[in-house]
Amino acid sequence: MGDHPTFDELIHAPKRLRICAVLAAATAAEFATLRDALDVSDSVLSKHLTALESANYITTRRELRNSRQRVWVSLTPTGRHAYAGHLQALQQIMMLDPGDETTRNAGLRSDP
Amino acid sequence: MVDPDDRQRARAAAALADIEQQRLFVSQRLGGFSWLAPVVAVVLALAAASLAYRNGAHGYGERMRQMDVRFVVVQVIYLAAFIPLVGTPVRTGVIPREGRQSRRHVFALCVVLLSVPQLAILGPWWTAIVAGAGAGVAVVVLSRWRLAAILREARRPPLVNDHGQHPVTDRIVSVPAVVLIAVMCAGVLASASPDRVLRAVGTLAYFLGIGSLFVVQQRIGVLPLELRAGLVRKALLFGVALWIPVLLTTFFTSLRGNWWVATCCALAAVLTVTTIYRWQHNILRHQARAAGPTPLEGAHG
Repeated sequence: MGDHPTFDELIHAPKRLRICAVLAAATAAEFATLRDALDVSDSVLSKHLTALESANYITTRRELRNSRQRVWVSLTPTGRHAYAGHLQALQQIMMLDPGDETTRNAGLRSDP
Repeated sequence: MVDPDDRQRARAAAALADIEQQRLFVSQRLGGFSWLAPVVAVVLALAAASLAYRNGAHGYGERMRQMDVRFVVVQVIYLAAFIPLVGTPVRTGVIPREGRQSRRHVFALCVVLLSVPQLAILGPWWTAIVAGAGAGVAVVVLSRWRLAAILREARRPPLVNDHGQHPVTDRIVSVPAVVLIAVMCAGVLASASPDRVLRAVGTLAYFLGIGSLFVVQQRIGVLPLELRAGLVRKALLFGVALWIPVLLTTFFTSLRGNWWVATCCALAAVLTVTTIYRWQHNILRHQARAAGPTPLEGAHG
């Protein structure tokens, strides 16, 4: 992927991680599809999307189709980069030897 | 007491499993509507067989001039059945990466370019000129679209070097639109000629012109995998399935009204639809996983 493994606290929250996973696999996803994928309410999804949008990780686009407004959400290049880095960080955690000193110094942990 | 490192790994594993689940969700969404393929295949097969058989003694052009209602209806069904193949009627709620844009281009090509020869066949001599002009405009527009898509693709990492330059874009060589327009206009005009040889040459030139529209993007030298697969799919659409029943019986009169020919056309249509769907499915799956290695695969080496 070419991205440095960087643990991203913002992305690591379970719901936001799922949002990024769906968006990374596609160009864009509709709001309702994301809601179904995450099995959350509109307001909860909106809250997480706002958090990601304020970090410039996602963009939203409103589209009127069949007299209904649809919101399409997509990852920005910054978001895609951050997600790829986070994914690598997770994979690195999985691969590290439990006794290895680098595990302790890798700075990949989410909790203090 | 649980080791903190084990707890870390357990959390990471749970997160990766979660990511994999979301990828599967997208993959399933994109690969849905599997019932559509056999339905389209059957409709196309019936329409292709009917077109090949009913083209009959009078031939395609004559039947269209007479507005043989059944013939026209079958033709409309035949063309409309291609829409699910190239259009975007399936509301998955997920846009595959770069996929929708490409399908939109092909759909526009199908509608605009295939309607051009029909215009030329149907009306008097001046409709051929109008059709030729229409083809010219379509070529200019589609060339620009395709070039824009290629440039956009080329500007995406990792084709951008460390200095933020786009060396790949410098390598794009485009067939001059003026040459294409001239070839296609001449092709359309010649295809309306009463002379059989001239008509055949004109039609061939016209379809070669369409083909060259797709060849342009190959000169980039670093064609992304999805686009390469799309190229073959489009070649199949234009070369094998579309118009075979009509062209066969228009240019080879001895094949008209032959049930064997009709059956072969139907089989060709079914095979084409199945192949296209298979490829589309593979491309979509590939796109769904294009963000990187499968998380769990990557994690476990």
